[in-house]
Amino acid sequence: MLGLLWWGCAAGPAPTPCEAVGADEATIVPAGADDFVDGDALPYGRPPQGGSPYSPYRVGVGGLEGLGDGASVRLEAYDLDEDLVLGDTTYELRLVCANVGDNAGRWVGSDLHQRFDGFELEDLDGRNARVTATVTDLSGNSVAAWLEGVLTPM
Amino acid sequence: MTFLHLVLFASDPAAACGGMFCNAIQPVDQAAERIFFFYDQGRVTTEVQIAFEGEADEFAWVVPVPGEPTVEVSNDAMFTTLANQTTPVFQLGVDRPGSIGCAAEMAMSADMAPREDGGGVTVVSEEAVGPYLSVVLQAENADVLVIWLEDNGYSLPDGLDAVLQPYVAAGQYFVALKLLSDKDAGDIAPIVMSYAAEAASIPIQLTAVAAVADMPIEVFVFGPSRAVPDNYLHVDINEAAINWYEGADNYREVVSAAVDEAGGLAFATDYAGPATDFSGLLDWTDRFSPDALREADPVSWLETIVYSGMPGSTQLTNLLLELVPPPDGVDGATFLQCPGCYEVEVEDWDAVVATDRFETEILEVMAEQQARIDGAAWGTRLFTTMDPAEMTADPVFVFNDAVEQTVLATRSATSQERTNAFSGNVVSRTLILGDGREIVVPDGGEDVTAVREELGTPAAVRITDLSASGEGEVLFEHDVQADADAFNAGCSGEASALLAPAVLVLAAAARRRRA
Repeated sequence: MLGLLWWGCAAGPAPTPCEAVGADEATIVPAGADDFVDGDALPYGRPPQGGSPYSPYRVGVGGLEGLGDGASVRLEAYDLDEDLVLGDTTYELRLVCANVGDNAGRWVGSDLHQRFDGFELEDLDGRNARVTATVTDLSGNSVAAWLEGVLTPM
Repeated sequence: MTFLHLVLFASDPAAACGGMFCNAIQPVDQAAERIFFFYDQGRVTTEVQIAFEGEADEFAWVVPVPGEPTVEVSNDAMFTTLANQTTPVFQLGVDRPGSIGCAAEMAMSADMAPREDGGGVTVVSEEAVGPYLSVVLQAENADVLVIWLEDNGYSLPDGLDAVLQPYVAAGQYFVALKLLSDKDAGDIAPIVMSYAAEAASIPIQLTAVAAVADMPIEVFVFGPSRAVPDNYLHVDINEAAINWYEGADNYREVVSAAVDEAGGLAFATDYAGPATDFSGLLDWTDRFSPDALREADPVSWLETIVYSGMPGSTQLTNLLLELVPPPDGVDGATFLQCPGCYEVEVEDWDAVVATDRFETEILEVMAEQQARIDGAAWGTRLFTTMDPAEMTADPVFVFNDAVEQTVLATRSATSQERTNAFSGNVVSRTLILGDGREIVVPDGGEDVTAVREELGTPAAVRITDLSASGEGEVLFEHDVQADADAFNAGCSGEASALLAPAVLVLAAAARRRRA
C-alpha cells in the first residue's frame, strides 16, 4: 500500500518550492547539452517537421515568482562577427515548477526553439553567435541569461 | 457570415458517427478535434477531419505544410473507428466481501507546373479533389498571400497575416480548399495530405484564430515506435482524481487540469500499442461480393451494405442516399436502418454504376487508410486541451523507442465495499488504484474532483520532458505518500471524527487479510 487517502478533509495545497525567495537568475543551454561551456558548438539543423533552421534550447529560471501563471521568453541569436540578428523568437507560455532533479525549485519548460527565419542551413555554419534568453514575468520583472558558441550542424 | 475555417476540424457528434451505424455498445468518443499522422521513411501523411456549418460559398480552409503536398480526399470511418478503439476506459471492479463480485466497464489533379501568379504568390498546383478545389501555394510574405486568397474568393478573418507570417517565413506551403460550385457543406470530407518531413507537427498557432476555449485535441501518430511530444511536455494523470464511481466522466477535465499544471503545453498519452491492434478494421474490400452487388436491386444492394457491419461514415451515408434516395417523407437515417421496410423506386437504377462508385469512393479509400495503418509498427493516441492563448508553439511529435512502449487504454481499479450486515447498504468504500494507492470514499456521491482540489492533490502525478531519445527528464513528480501525509497533518474536525471508525475497521480488515 503506497498511501491511504481519505477524501473528506482538506489539508490545503502545499506551497510550490519555486515560491521560495531567492536571487533572480536564469540559465540557457542547448537542449541535450547540460555541460555546455561558452565556445562549444551550438547545434542547429532543420526541424524534424520541416521549415526554417532552428536550435533547441532549455531555459530555467529561479527567483521570479508566478511563472506558472504566465511568462514571456524571448530568444535572440546574434552574430558576434557580423553584427547581425540571426533569429528573434518570443514565446508566451507558463513554466513548470520542477520539484525533482537538478532543476528542483526552479521554473522550467520544454525545449524552446530558436528559429532562423530567412537563413538556409549552410548560411549558419560556423557563425560565432550569442544566444540570449530573456524571461519576463507578468509583473514585468525580467531576468536574462546568454551563451556564446559556434553554430554547428547537428 | 463568412469566415475562413482554420480550425483543423471542429467536432460534430452527428458527423462523428457518420449519421448511421453508430454502435451504442461501444464507448463512442465524440467532441474532440482529431488529426492522424502516419510517418513512413521521410514522409508524413496527415488526415484531417473538417467540420463546417454554413453556406457552401462561405467555406474556406487553409493549412500550412512544410513540404510540397499531395492532397486527396478521405473518409470519416477511420476517425470514429480508431477513436472508439483507443478511448480510455476506466474499469472499476467491485470487491464486496461476502457478496458475489461484479465488474462494470465505464467509459466514458490536375497536374500542372508551378506558376508565379504575380504579387509574390506561387500557385504550385490546382486541382479538384473530391468536393474541393484544392490549391497549393507558396508566398513571399503573408501580406501577398492574404491578398491572393481574398482576390480568389477566400473570406478571411482580420489579423490573419500576422499568424500566417511565421509559416511564410519558414518557407512552408499552403493548402487552400474551397468547395466546388456544385457541392454543399454536406459534401465536406476529410482530406489526406502527404509531404516530406521527419516529424509530425500541428500548425496550432494558425488554429488559434478560430479555436474555442479548452479545445480538446486528439492526435494519432503511427510510425516505428511510440510517439511523444518533442517540444511539449508529457503528463501522466493522477488516477486518484478520476470519478471512478461516475463512469470516469471527468477524464477530460483531469487531463485538462494536468496540462494546466504543466504550463498548458503538454499532452497525455491515451493509448500506445502495436498497429496490429487495428488490423483489418477498415479494409472491407474482400468482404463484399462485387458480382452480387452488381446484380442487386436497390433494396438488397442497400441492405447488403448497411447490414454488413462495416464502419459508417458521412461519405458512405451520403453516397448511399444519393444512389438510393429515401421515399418521400422518410428521413435518410431512418430509411437506412431498414431499407426493406419501404417501397423503393429508383429511376434508372444501375447496380453496376452504383457498385463501382461504392468501390472507388468508399472501399478503396478505406483500404488506403488501412494500408497506412498497416505500414506502421506502432500507434499512439495523445490528448490535450488548449485555450487559444496557449497556442503559441506548434507541437511536434517524434518517435522514442526508449520509453515504455505500451500504454493501455483500459485503466483498472477496485472498489472494496463494506456493507451493513442487516440492511445490505454500503457503509464504506475503499478505492484501490492501479498504483496501489487506497482511497477511503465516505459515500458514493463524493465529488472527487472537488475534494482533490481541496486537498491540493495535483491532477498530474508526473510531468516529463521527452524527446526522440532517452527516457526524458522528469520535472515534476507527485509524491503519492504526501497525500496521506497531508491528510495526517491537516485533517481535523468533524469529518475525521465521523470517519475515523471506518478507517479503523478497514485497517483491522487489512491486518486480518495479511494474517
